[in-house]
Amino acid sequence: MSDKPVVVVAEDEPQIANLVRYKLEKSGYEVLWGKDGQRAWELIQESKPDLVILDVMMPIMDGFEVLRAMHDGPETREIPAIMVTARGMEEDILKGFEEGAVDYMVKPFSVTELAARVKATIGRREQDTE
Amino acid sequence: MPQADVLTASIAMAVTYSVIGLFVLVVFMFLSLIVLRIVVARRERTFDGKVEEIRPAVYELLTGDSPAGEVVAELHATIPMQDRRALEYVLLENARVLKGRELEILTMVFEQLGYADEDITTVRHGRDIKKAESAFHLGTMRTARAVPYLVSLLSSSSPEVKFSALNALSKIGTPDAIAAVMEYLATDNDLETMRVAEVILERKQAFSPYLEEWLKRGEADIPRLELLIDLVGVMKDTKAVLVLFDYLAHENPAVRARAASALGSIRDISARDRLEIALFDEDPGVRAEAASALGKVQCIEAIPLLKGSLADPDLAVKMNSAQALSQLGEEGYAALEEGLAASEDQERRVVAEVMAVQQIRNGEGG
Repeated sequence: MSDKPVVVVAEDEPQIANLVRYKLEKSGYEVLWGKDGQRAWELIQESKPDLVILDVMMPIMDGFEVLRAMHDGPETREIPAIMVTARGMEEDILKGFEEGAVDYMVKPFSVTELAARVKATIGRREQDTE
Repeated sequence: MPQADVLTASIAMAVTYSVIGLFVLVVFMFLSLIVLRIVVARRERTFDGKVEEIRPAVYELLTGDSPAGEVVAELHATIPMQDRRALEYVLLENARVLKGRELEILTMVFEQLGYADEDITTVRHGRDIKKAESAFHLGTMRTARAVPYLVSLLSSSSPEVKFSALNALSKIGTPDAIAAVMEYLATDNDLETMRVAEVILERKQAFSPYLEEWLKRGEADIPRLELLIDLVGVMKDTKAVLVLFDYLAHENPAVRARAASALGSIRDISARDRLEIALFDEDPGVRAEAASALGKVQCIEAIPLLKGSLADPDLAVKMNSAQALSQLGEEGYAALEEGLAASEDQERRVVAEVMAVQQIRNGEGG
């Protein structure tokens, strides 16, 4: 595995996942894509990423279930997660924070803004661990 | 040979040839379908392949450091004419999920490469299915100059065309587009709440003041009032709570029931006292919606009243009260069990059923 920071993108819409992946890889991250919550959770356990981007609405396991699983795992509970919610589902934001998310984005969003938030969150985490 | 035998032989031959002819026709049609399917599949594969090829160029356009004008010129020069549809597809799929500067870039490309003109022409002269599709494209790309043409689609006889135009106008969101949608809401008699809600949710901030003002004026027939009340409920418009209180006292029971339901959807705890009063409305439909709403707004103080409503003569009120109690934590469950113990056998079955359903739902929710 490379020295690049690893980001797991949990997103069931390929067009969003592809674009986010392109932008983050270009910004210097290694990106792993889980097309459903179950696959994303497997990738999180395998790779212990630096950050997770979690869509709320996903098949098999939704974003909240993945967050809870991360929180219950001793090796995953410190990994920061950014939630991505659909417009009109703003109550998901509060629920996401209660479950341990550190930030959120509402669809549709700016991929440049998302990349900036990823950078800021990973930067804060590195500062905290130093 | 006797004449009868000749006739029989002729009939037999005719039948045989007919059967063979029919068989050949069926085989021919079957083979034609297979060929058609292969051709369509090949075209789809080719299209998908082109889309895959074009995506990185569009991603670069959106995320790269090069000036957008340069990238557009490059796209124009490098994408062959026959791949225009694939490029349009990629522009649209990205415009659907992006906003801000990235959406502005996509809108500019859509204009400069002539897609907006093509779609406006289709909106004016195309078949209904194509009009609806082009209206959707223009809305996704926020093409403001298409507003007059989209407004003209609102008088179409096709519901698909009308809703596609409404959706596009709502997404474009300029003052003239918003005014056209509001005018349509005030005059059309063929509205479907959920589809209208889907449309105006795109621009909740822009539409909310209009809907609130309209509800305050109250100048609408009963079906339109019900629609407006449903919409502010779906939009979870907290600013509409006060005006909804007035509608809880409306003379029409269907309007009162809608107001109670909307207050439940908005989940504003300030509605508690009014909903408790509505629990004693003379109309069972209003009582049922009020009970349901008290559960949704998490009104612990209403537990004794909801427990009392378990003995309501109306089945819907009973069921909604049981469900509301089951949403109010341990205290609510305890009240539900007490109500269950005190009720007649039939009531107990209803309540037990509701509790079982609720437990299954809680289980599904993790």
